[in-house]
Amino acid sequence: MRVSLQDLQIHYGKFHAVKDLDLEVPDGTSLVLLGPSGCGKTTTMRSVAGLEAPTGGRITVGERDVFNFAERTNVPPNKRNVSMVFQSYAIWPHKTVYENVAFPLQMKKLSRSDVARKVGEVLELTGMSQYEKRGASELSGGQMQRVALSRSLAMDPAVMLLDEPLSNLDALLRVRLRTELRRIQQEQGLTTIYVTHDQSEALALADNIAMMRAGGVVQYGTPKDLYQNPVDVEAASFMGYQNIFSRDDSSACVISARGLNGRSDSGDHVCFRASHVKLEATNDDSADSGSVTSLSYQGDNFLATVEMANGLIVQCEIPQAALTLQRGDKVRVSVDEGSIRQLPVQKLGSTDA
Amino acid sequence: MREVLGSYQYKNWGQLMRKFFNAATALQVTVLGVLFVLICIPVLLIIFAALSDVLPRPGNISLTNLTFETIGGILSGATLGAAQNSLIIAFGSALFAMFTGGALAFIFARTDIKWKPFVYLAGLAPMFIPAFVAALAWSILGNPRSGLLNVLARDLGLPEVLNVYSFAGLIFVLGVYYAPYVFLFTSSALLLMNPELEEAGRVHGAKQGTVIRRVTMGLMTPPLLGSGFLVFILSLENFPVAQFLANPSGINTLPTYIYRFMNSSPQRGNEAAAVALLLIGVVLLLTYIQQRILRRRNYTIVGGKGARASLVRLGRARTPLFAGVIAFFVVSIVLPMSALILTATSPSAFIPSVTGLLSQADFNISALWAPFERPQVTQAATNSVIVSVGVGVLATALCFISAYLVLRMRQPGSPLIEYMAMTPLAIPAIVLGMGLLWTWLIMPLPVYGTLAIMVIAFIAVQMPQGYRGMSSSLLQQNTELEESAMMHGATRVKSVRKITIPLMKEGIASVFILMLMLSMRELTVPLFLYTTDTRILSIVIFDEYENGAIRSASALSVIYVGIIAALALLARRFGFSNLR
Ligand SMILES: Nc1ncnc2c1ncn2[C@@H]1O[C@H](COP(=O)(O)OP(=O)(O)OP(=O)(O)O)[C@@H](O)[C@H]1O
Ligand SMILES: [Mg+2]
Repeated sequence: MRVSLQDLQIHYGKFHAVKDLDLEVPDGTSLVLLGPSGCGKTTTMRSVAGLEAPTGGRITVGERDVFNFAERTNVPPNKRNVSMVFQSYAIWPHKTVYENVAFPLQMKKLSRSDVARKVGEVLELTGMSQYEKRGASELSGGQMQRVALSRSLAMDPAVMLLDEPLSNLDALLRVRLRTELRRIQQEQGLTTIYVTHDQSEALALADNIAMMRAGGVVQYGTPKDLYQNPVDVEAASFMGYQNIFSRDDSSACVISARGLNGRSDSGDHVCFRASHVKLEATNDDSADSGSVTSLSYQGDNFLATVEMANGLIVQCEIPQAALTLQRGDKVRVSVDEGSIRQLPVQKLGSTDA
Repeated sequence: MREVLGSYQYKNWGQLMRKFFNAATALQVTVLGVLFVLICIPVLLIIFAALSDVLPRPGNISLTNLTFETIGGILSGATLGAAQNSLIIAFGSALFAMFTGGALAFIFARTDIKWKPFVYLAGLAPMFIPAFVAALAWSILGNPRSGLLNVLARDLGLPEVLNVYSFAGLIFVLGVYYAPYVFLFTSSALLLMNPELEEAGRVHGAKQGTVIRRVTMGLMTPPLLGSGFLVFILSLENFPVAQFLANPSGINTLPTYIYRFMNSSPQRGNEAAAVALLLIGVVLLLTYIQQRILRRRNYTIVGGKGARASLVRLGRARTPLFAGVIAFFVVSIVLPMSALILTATSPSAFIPSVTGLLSQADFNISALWAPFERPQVTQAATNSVIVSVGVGVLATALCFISAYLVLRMRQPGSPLIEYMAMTPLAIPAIVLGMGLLWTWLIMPLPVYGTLAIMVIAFIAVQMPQGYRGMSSSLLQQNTELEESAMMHGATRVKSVRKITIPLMKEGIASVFILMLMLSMRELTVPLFLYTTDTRILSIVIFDEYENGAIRSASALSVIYVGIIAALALLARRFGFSNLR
């Protein structure tokens, strides 16, 4: 079901943890909250679940107000039909996998046979069928993750909240499970809000991303929007722009000057991705050339660090096949005009959701 | 030149190593020997006595007169009756302690009750009153004829109802005064619990009450069961409470049965040993069952991002529950302490009317000190201090060396040290006391009849607590600190002295204070070992009470509880909670 947060405020004493937050999650879509540590992602999510009482604003799930400060509505968590996958998984260690997953169904007073059928279905979906009888403390991290997910799925939630559910897993499993999560979300048409620190996880899982900072949203859009057009320098660095230069600093830098010709943005920083940089071997000492100071192997390509004549350090990604460079070689550096973003350090105020 | 230097150094190093290994091995053998004499010989002598028809005396010990007759002889109705009584009492008091301790822990840790520090104090305070003092106080309060509460009831025209000389009385006293173990285990587990486990219940559709029943209670089971088992075993082997409260009404328990065999003349030590063996068997069986049950439930519930759990709002139940906590405090502390003080300071031991006594207000506070005018009592107090300090110093040293050998040296045979050190846990105090008596009558050292035998016996009894405290403190120390001192040229002894011991100051101090306090509290073991000149405070209180000198026993008890409470608070300051 659709979720909307309007003008949400959360205070802890004097500290304003969430400010004027507006967000909209259309039915059946996945929203990812992305942002630095302490920016209020968990707090926002917990207030949707009803585990945290906001100090202002309104939260609607479907057509129902679950929280409305003005009307003093605050539906308790067990009546919201909002489920949550916790970062610690919160699998009850004194219950078996089956009992964990059955819990929300028992709370709904389903008959024994309905519970069994539904648990079976969900465990099938998450690939945990053979562990049904296991005690929950006898599971690996990835398995606990799946149980937590199954438990949340079992209750057919209006919205499913996931707070950094993959952050305790190793890198390989993280990638595998996130693909699976996306599959389940899309197959079941789930409405989800997902919190992460990880840029690639956000891109892979989101229909929309909300980039948060200091309790507010600074940018909202599709993964493609955020990837290609970050609003400011901080958003750009979060989205993996490796080269970010102050314009003053790079005024002498011919790459940017060339790249920026004819563009009229008013940002004071120049940003571009390492993968958009082109290198050619050269012999002359023009201002747009420099020397390779390090080369590191990345699998499909190499990451080269180039020190420009004026001291600027540029990161470049070169396809492995194209690599003929050596450390110390002189190269000419260029970037396509279209790949360069000119951005302010921090955009003031937040964009509308 | 280099070669010469090299080989010279090598030789020196090798010598050093060899010398060092010899020293370590010698130390290990010594410790094993000491523990064998302290702990194993007494246990072996009990077994011998149970399987023999002669008592273990010098020259008596041979395998020729082994017989199962003694054991067969005691497996009669009377013994089995006592065993049954013991089990009923232990089961009842464990349930009672689990209920009261668990409820207090939940109220303290998970609700918005007011005055939390007081709730904590109420949960902990019964620990400051040793069970035998509590039994003494409650027999003053609730004996069927002249108990103060019964007298008060008569004053107020109510029927006399209370009789602590009964199963209910025993279960009540043991349950209340062992409840702090349950309280401490359970409340710390509740405080450490990951609040997300409860929140998960809420978001998955459960009401607050349902979450408490289905999630919180389930998570609480292991600490609750674990501490319940501890109370069960402590109650099962407790002698003095049974002696004070069960004996007057003719209820026998296994410990009182053993005591009576030992005190009959002629002494029937073989039968006592046989009953002791039965008691050890029950304790071992229970320990085994406990481990079987708890092993599958040994899960961690700690974790999460350190968020505070939301507290249960009590609403209208808040005041009645707080009243309940006050009632528990009054019953466990205020009533017995008042009874002791009243008895000690009132003009006569016989109190015909409580209201009358209170209205006369004829109290003599200095009566609390009166017993100390008698030289026997000052002698006993001095003995207590000497014994406690002696045990403190020697046991702390022995525990440190043992823990160090087990955890840091890891020579073959080290684990044996740990097994031996922990053995007394499974041996009831009354049984160990008997074994220690026989041991030191046989040993060619003239310690029987001196304070030295008390010190030796207490070290043996308290070895498990001391060893456990010391090894957990040593485990917290990073081994690399000591190793780096050795890499930089210090010998092992020197690096232990300069690095490890200074770093463990707090841990060592806490073991020392724990040993002091446990020695002060101990009554059962010295019962078999004391002589007129070597009485200690706990023995004097026991004797005075048994001889009917109630007022002097009460006065001494008040002082005694004061000392123990002070030591217990000191021990807790150093982070000790597992006081026995
Ligand atoms: N119970 C609380 N009391 C006071 N301050 C709090 C409380 N909970 C959160 N905060 C503060 O609110 C801010 C937002 O916290 P929140 O947990 O939502 O951050 P987050 O974005 O989830 O960070 P992370 O990525 O590290 O999980 C933080 O600055 C935090 O210190
Ligand atoms: Mg968070």
